[in-house]
Amino acid sequence: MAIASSRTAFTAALLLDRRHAANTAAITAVAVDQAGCRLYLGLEDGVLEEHAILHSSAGVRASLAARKHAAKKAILSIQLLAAHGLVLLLSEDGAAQLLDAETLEGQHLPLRHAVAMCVAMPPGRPPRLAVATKPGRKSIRFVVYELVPPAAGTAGGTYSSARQLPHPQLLAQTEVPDASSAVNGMAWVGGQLAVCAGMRYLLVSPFGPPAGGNGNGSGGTAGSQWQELLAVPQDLAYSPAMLAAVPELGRAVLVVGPAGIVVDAAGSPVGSTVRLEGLGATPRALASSGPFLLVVSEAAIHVFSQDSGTEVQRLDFAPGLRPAPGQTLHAAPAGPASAAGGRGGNGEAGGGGRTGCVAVAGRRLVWLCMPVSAADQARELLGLREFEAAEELIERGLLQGAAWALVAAAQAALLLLHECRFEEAVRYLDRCPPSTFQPRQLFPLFPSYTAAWTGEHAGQHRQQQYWGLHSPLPSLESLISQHLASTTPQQQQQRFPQQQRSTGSRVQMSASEASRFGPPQGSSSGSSGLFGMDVDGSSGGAGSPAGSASPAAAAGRAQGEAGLQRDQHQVEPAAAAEQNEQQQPGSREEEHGGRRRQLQRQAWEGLVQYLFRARMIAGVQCLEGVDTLLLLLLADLGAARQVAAFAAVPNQVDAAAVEPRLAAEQWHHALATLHAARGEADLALRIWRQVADGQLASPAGPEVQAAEQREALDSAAALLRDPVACPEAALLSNLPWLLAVSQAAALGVLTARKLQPAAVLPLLPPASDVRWRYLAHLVAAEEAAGVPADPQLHTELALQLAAAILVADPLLRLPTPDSSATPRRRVTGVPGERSGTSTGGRPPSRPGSSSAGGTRPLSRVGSRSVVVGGGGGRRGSRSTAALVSGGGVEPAAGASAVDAMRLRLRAHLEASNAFDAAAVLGSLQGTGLHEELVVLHAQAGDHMSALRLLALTLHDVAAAEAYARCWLVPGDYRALLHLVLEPGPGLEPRWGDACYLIASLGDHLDPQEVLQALPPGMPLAAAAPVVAPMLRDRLHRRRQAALVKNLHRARLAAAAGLRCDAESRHVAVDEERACPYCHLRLGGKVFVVLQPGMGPAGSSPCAGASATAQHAPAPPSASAAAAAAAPVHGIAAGTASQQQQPPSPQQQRQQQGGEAEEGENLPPPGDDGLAVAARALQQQLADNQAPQVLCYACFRRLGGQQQPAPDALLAPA
Amino acid sequence: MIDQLVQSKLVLLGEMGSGKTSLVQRFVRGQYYENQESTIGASFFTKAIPEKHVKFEIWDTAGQERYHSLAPMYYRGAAAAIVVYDVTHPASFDRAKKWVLELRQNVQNPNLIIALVGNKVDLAEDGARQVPEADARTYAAETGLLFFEASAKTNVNVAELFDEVADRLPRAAAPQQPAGGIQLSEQPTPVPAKSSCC
Repeated sequence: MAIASSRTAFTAALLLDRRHAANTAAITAVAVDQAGCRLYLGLEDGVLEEHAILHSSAGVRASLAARKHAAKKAILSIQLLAAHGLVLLLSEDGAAQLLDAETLEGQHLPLRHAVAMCVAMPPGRPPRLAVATKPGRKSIRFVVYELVPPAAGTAGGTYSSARQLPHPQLLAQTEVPDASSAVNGMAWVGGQLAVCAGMRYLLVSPFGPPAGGNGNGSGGTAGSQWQELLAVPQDLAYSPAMLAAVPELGRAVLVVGPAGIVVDAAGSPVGSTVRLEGLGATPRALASSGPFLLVVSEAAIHVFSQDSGTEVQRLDFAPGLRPAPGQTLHAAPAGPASAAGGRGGNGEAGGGGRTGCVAVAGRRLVWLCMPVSAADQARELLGLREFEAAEELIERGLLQGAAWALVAAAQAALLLLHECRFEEAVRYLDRCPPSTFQPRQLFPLFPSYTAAWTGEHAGQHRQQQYWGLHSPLPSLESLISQHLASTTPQQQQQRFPQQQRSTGSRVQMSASEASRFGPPQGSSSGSSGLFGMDVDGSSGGAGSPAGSASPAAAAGRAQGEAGLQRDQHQVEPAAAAEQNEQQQPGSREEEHGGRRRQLQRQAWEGLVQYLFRARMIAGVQCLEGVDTLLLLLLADLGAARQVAAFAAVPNQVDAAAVEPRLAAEQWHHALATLHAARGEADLALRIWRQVADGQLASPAGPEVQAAEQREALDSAAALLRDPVACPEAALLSNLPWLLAVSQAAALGVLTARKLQPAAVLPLLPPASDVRWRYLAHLVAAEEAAGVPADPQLHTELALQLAAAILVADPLLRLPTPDSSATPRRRVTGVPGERSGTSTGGRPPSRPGSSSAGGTRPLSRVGSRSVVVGGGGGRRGSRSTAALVSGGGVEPAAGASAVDAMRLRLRAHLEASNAFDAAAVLGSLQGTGLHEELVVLHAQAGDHMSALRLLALTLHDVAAAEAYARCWLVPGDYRALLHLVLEPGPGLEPRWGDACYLIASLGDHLDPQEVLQALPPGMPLAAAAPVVAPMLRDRLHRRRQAALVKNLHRARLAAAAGLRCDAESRHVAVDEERACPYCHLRLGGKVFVVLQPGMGPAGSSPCAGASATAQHAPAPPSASAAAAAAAPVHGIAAGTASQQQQPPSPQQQRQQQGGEAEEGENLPPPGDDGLAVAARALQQQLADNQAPQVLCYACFRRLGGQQQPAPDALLAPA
Repeated sequence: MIDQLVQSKLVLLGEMGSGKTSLVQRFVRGQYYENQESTIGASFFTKAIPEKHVKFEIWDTAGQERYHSLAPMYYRGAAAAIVVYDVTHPASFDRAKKWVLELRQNVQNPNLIIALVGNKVDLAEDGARQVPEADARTYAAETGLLFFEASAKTNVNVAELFDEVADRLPRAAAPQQPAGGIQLSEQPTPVPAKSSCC
């Protein structure tokens, strides 16, 4: 049999020739087992033949093994269940038989008119047999049996036969109306049956309607067990309808004219149509095998790929063996594999057979199509440079984890490299682990870059041959030259569309195709963040000058521009050829050079991507060479930024090998980064210093140079900050340079590391910002670590801060005289708040003569933060630093640097107890840092000095008052008053401040002292501003006191009234007390106390006597008290009466009704005395007379119809 | 990163030679072939539009009349349909109208998006236009169709067409695909035992 096409998916051999056999009956059915070792033939005379297939190096041949006259008529179908040792026959007389494969003995199934059958092996269940019968002309009945194994049948109590054949157990049956004459084919598709009846295809669900309902079928009714998938139109009926099962995928292929439509179990089309239009003959039989569909026509056996729907191979019949036109042909795939051991793919089977065989039979000839292993197919395709077809196989093998696929991928990559298809090659290389392909195998492409490692690893560097389809890799230049020389310009032009087509087909195939390869296609920008290279030449960034000293780099950039055009290239073959014909010879040469550069850049980009990914995989050999090659390729690409980025990550680049190149490129930053990454901090710092100082400048413009200098400075600082990469000695040696260049960067370095202050401080310039900040950092670190404070550090911090302030603001070096009439502006922590001049309406200061204030030490009271109440001015809980700062000690937004430093100094002076106060005081005295001196004096306990500074120097009497409230006892407030009245020699008394203090601290100060301090000869007009406010304040205080006194008196009177009222309710009951009604001594009896004002109805005996039970008013419940032998005061009664609530309107109405009822009803005879007494009692209570005490018995008689509440009664003690 | 893509079935229908396959080839592969072979049965393509979170499963059907009976298999369950006509062939526009009518009658998805596309608009510049744009636009407006005039050859409105369809998809929930595969819970229907007379 001749093999056409370029791919060998199957080999076919004539297995049996019965033309000269004794029995010349035609073949009507064929079957082959899964292993390809047994062939069964059904003949038109009802004979079943079993042949053994013998595989040998010479070929295959069949040997008759058994023969049996199994049916009376032609055998139409043979189904094999080799795993169960069963053969199923369907004969033309409508009988179906179940035979033992060993003996070919068996039994008939209990049915008639069978026209088709098929078997399935659902996982975990016994084999399932479906038989289509045609009992009448208008319907088809489908019967499904489950072939229960003998053991199970025995267990069920139904012995099938003596031959231990499975028992066919009826599972389901359904009937489909159909008027077609025959059932051409039937196959299991999942749990459904795909049926080809006449010229239409049905999907039958023997186990009930599918879950999706009747969504796909045009026939049947909703909820029915069948649906019509499609009917072959008349125009396409030239080809017989037939189907083939694809059991591995649960699909079926339906032939509709020139199209083979693959449907799934739901009847939905899947994938592209199998294009049968190119057969050149009518398809006569179908069979699927693995990923292929074999279509048998009168001309050949056509092998189609089910994935792409295209024909991949054609096996032509030999001229003498060609079937006659119209002859019936049969194709039988290998029998269904068992659930446990079945294999859907191609490959060798045990016993010398092959899985996936397909038997094709004519009337008297039988061919056996044997699948070629995927590895062999891939090898052949790669040998033919059919990469697209090979890729499909390789990918499938990789998905299955086949070892050959890795070899094939490596082989394909090397072949593609030879073809200068670098992107595709890299995609294959990415699939190869180091055990299959080592990145060092690419070293021959770049001999000048990898010479050092080629010799070193000479033993390992031997090129692997894989399948021996490629020649050793030459250098990249040679490779491209050979490629360009071997391809014509037209081929070069057509290369792009070809690549694009191949790329497009991968996109098309399936969703998994997109993720098949790691990096995205086409562009390298999306594969790696580090090496997302820009091909527009802008990748250099700050460290990549536009111009380059290296011709290679310049060429690389030029190639990059050419590469840009590649992505936008859309060449249409016809148009490209037409353009090519019109090209001039000169332009061809230019194009040749451009093509070379383009290929070179493609190679660099692709291999850089691959090397960067591969170097991170464990098991990569010669990593030093790989990293060096990678960096040099990046340099070739002109990607300075990527070079620096790669240099920054841990790598094994041979610095000596790349340093000349980087230096030539003037990529100093990259070179320094490389040294830094390799632990050579001194070298790196030296380069960065030179760049930052402008000694190593690129030939680029000033902006780029400035950017480079900034980058160098930042990089150097970053390296200096790293305690691992940069030792302390290197830091100290470079610190002066860094201080000179950037004190901020130096401070960042100093605060980022733990250094010895003794070694660092001498290097820091005195009175500099960086010095005190470093000291502040040390102090803060001390506090954070909880170690004892170092007085020297704390003192040094205060001194350096003060010095820095004075340097920053030289005006502060001059002290503000106390006699200054204008208060000095104060540093505040709160925006907008300025203290010192606002004193709450006090009169403005005016100069006056006074003696020096007292300087006696004052006792320190309480803690530093004292809650001060009363008085005017600033009050509350504040620290001294906050007090003199007018708020908090945190610098406000927009505060100047000097203000921030002063706040910082105040905070430090207040927070620290470790500094040398005398030394700090000495540095502050004589300067304008008065607020800081206040804090310092407060810390030292010299409150008089602090007050003097506040009140006299800063003219902030309010702050002085607040300070006094915080730090002084009230008895010492006079000292502040004396201070303003007698400020000292040469200073005028501050009358306004004195008045303010009198007003604020008036509770503790005597205005007489102010008056006495007034000069005797002072005119009244001059004294009025001083005296008048004091007089107003005193008068106000007097009136306020009078008001308070009268209010207290009113409250006293009210309380006395209440006491009288309460005492009037007291009742004293002693043993002499008698009930005023029965005149018996109360003694130990229970008695009742009725308080005045209680409701008359409540105690109305008439109401109690005449009212019904519902309307009877309750007796006073809370006015009872018990008397004991000892006198008892009925205080409880009074209290109880206060708790009694006034009657509600409803109760009042009831009471009124009761009274009216009382008026209408006559009193009971004989009770006139009681009624009079009751009215008298009621009248007494209504008149608010004294409380009435009576015994409980009289109380009941007078009006109590109900028992009082028990708790209202006081039993005798 | 392609994640959470909604798979949507899209089918192209139209007269033979109207350019369905060219439109799909241009959209999926960015290519155009002057002499495109006729489609047999149907071709299947996939194309993801990550920014719109859509993955199209495109069925490019054959336009020949003899394959008409196969079309229901392909447009059944579709979330969107693109009906293509050739602006230089009035008959193809009439055929497109029939396709729209058939879709309206046979597709049960009420949210089916139908786009009417007049292809080969590049030829209209040469005076070959036979279907006025206004007529097609009016028809599309009357029947609630998206309308585009496109050219697969010059890549006019091709991406815009699919983008617009993708934009409409989230508001039109694609119907669930019919359940396929093996029913794991499949239970054989019990066969009633034959009644016997005794």
